[in-house]
Amino acid sequence: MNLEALTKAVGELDEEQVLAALKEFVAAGPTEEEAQQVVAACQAGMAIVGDLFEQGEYFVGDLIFAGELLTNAIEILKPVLGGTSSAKIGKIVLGTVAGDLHDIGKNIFKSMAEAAGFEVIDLGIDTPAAAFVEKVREIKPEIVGMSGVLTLALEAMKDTVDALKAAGLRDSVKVIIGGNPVTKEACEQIGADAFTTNAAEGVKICQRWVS
Amino acid sequence: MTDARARAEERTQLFRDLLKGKTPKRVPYSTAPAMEYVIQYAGYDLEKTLWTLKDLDKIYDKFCAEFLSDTNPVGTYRLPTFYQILGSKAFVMGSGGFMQHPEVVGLLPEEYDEFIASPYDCILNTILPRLYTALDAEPSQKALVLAKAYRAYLDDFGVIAAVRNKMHEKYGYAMLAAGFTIAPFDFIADFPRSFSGISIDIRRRPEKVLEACEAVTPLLVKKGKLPPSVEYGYIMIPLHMAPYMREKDFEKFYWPTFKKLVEELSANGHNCYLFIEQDWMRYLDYLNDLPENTIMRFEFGDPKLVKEKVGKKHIVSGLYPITLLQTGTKEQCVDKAKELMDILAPGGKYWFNYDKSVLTIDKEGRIADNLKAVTEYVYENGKY
Amino acid sequence: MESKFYLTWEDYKQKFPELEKRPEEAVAPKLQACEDAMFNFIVGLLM
Repeated sequence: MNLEALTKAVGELDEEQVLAALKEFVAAGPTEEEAQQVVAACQAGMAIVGDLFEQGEYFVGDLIFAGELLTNAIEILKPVLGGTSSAKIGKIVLGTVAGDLHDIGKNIFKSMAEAAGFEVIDLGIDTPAAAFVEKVREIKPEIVGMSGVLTLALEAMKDTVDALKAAGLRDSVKVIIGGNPVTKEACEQIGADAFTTNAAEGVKICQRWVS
Repeated sequence: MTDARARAEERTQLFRDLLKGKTPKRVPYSTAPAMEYVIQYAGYDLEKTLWTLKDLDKIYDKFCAEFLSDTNPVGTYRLPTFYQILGSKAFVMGSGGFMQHPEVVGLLPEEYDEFIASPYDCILNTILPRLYTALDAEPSQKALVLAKAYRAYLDDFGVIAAVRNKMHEKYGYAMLAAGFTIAPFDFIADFPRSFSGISIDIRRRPEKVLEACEAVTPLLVKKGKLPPSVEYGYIMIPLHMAPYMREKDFEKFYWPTFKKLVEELSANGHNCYLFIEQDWMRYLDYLNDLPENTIMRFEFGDPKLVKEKVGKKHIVSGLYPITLLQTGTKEQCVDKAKELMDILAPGGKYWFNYDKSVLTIDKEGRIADNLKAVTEYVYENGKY
Repeated sequence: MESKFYLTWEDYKQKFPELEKRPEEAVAPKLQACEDAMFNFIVGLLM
C-alpha cells in the first residue's frame, strides 16, 4: 500500500482511486496495525482537504463529499480494523441551538472534527440549552460547539452560554460558535471563546485548545 | 387624490424608473422586517398568529405607521396550516414558531431517469409523497389532502393579500407584481436531492445532474412568468448553491440553465430579482453577463467591487447587514447606510435594501431604533 | 410540458369531446387558469 498516494488521492477527492486502493488493501488481509496506518493516511488526506478549503480551492460542497468519501473508506476498512479505535484527542459536545433546524454546517464540522481525532457527541438540531448543560455535566467535554444559521440562533447561543454559567460549567469548557450569522461582535455578546464561519478553521481552533 | 394614492404613485414611479434603468427621483427603499418580526413587534404571539392570522391588519398597521418603506412590507412565503395538512417534512415549525427547511431527500439517486423523463410527473408520483407524508396515501385520500391543503393555502394567502391591500390603501406603496421561481440546479438540490446529495451527485453522476437541470428548466420558466398584462414587476429568484461550489463545477452545473432561465424570463419583459445568498464575489463577471437591469440583491460582498463589476449594467441592492441593526449603535448603523449609499447610489441603479429579512425581535428594542435611524438617513439623503 | 397531470385545452377536448360545442374563448382560459394555479402550487411546494 502506497500511503502517500492514498493521502494524495483523498486530498484530491478521487473517490474511484481511493476505494479501489482500499478494497485491494483489505483483500490482501493486512494486520490491524497496517490498517491503522491506512486510516491515518486517510485522515492526513482529510487535512489536505481542509487546507485546500481554507485556501479557497475547495468549497462546502467538496467538504461534504470529503466526509462521504471518508465514511465509505472507513466502512471498507472496518473488517480489518478490529475492535481497537485510535486514541481520541478530546471531546466535543455539538449541536444546532434551540429554534434552529439547520444541520449541514454542523455535520461538516462534525465529520472534519472526527477526522482530526475528536470524539464528537452530536445533540442534533433545535437543541435546548438544558440539553447542552446536561450533556456537558455528564461527559465533561473540553469543548462545546454551537451551530446555527438563522439570526435567532444568536439569542439561543447566548441563552445556552448563560445556562452553562448558571450551572457552574462555563469555566470547565471552551465554547466555539459557528454558522452564517456569527461575527466577532456576536461572539463577544454571547460570551463564546471563539467563532468561525469556516468548519476547517473551527477544527483548527479546537485542536489548539486541546494541544 | 388622497395622500396615500399620491404616495403610491410617487413610489411606483421610483420603481418604473429603476426597473427600466433610469435614475429615479430618489433611492428606493425597502424595510427589513419579515412578518415574524412584525407580529412580535406588535406584541402578539408568533406561533398562534402564524396559524390563525388573526388581527394581522392591526399588527401591520402598527408597523406601517412607524416604519417607512417604498415597497409594501406585508408578505410571507411560509405559513404553517397547509404544510401541516400535507404532513410536510420539507417545511416544519421550529420550537420558536419559525418555519424552517431541514435537509430532506425527495428523489433517490437511482430515480434521476424518472425525473428526467417527466419532472412534473416525477414530482407528483415520487417526490411529493416522500416530503409531504399525507400525500403518501391511497388515491382518494391523496386527492382530498391536496384539496384541503390548497383550500388552506388560498384562505391564508387571501388574508395576506387583503391585509396587503389594506396597508396599501392607507399608506400608499409602490405597486409591483412579483413572481417567484428557483434556479434549476438549486431546484434539484433543495428538495429532490438535498445539499449533501447534490454535492455527491456532481461527482458520482454528473451527466444525470446536467440532464435533470435541463429537463426542469421549462417548468421553472413557466413557474416564474408574470402575465404579459403586468407592466411593472419582478421575478424573485433566491440563489442558493453556487457559493458552496468550485468555479469549474459552477460553470458546468449551475450557470448554463440558470442563465437560460433569467434570459427567458427577461425576454418576457420583466426584471429578474436575484436574491444572492452568501458570497458571490467570485462570480460577478458571470452575473454581469445576464440581461440588462437584472436586480441583484447581495447578502455579502464588497460594495465597491459590486458597483464596479455589475453596477453599471444591473440594479444593485442589499449588502446592509441586519446583524448590525442587532448589535450596533445608532451611529454605527447610520454610518453603514452612508457608506453603502455613497458607493452604490451614484448613477442610479440602486435599491436600498438589507442583506436579508429581520425575523426575530430583540428584548431591548435596539433593532427598531436602529432601523428607524437608518430609514431616516436613507430618505433624507437619497435624493438624486 | 410532457405530463399526464397537466392538461391543455387540446387535452380537455380530447377527454371531453362535448367541449367542442362550448365557447372556446370563454372556457379555455378558465380551465387553463386552474391548471396553472395547481401547477404553481405543486411546484411551489418544492421551493
